[in-house]
Amino acid sequence: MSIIHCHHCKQQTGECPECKEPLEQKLSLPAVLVVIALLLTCYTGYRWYSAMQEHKKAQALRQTYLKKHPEAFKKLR
Amino acid sequence: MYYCSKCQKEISICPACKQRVSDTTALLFYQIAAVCFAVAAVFFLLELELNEKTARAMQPFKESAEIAEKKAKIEAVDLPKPDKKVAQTSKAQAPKKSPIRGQTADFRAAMWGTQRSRISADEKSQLLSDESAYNLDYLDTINNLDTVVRYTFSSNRLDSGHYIFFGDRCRNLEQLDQASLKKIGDNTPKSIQSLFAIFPKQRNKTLAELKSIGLFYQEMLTSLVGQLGEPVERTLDEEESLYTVDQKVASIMVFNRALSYSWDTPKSIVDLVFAAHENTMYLCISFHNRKTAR
Repeated sequence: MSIIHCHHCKQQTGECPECKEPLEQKLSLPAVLVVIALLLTCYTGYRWYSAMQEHKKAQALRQTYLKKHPEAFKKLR
Repeated sequence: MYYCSKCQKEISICPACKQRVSDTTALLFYQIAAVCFAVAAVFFLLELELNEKTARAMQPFKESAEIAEKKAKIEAVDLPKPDKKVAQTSKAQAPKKSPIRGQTADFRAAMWGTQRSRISADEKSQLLSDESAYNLDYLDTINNLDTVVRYTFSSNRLDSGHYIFFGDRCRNLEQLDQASLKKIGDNTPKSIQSLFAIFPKQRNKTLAELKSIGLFYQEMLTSLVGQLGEPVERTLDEEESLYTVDQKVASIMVFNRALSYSWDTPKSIVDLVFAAHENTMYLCISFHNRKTAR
């Protein structure tokens, strides 16, 4: 059973004004949206993390190469 | 969204004041979803930026790798060149043919730089040995003689090819007057001596007499001279004409000596080595890639 809180008259209603049956609340659509959004966040986060690792590796490789071949640094610039 | 399950109606207006009411729980969910989408978008943009940075950092290495790859491909493919126009020449200047009949490319059917796997797939002769990383040995028959065909590789690409003829132990050498024989040529190199151990069985019985060996050596030498011209290098230099074929053959077989000849062609360096080890004949015609030959 759900209760409506009215911000205007500050009253609470828990039943249908016509048949006096208790009210229900539909939350399936927002719940599905939240789940999708969370999954998307996790996926993009993971991809960003992987890209970060790859970037670190590339930087390390570059630094190692430039240490071994300092003459290449001028060409890169 | 609030609704009545019995009368199937959506309740969006307060029954008391008739003002519009909103579902706060659903709104909260929507807000969470919106925040999550925003975070996902930020992650996506950050990932794009990082990928771009990584690509920029690796660009010089990728370019050099691509250049190396292209270079390797170009080296591997030997593009056919248009035939040069040959002027009408006399019979003495007939177009050069391969010293071994049936050879159409650089060495047999293969071009310099061909990969080992491709050669082993294309070669139809009997395989003798493929244990060495540098050599691939086959047994073939040329002019009714058992011939060892050896492909030599450098970095897994064809670098040189050899036709090796082995004779059997030479007979009737004791009948020669060895005291009057002059030592001609160099001592047989150890590299050649070791080859006899590798091919102990492929010995040609017909090449076991001085006469037949002499004929075979002369035939091979004159054939190469006829097709490639005079050798650019030879062991005996000007002394070559001082000795007869019989003298040279007898000296080589008795004293285990070696004679070599070299020709320079546009694509290959061709060598003929005639030698003996333990009074057994060895004759090798080698083709070396001109670009990589030392």
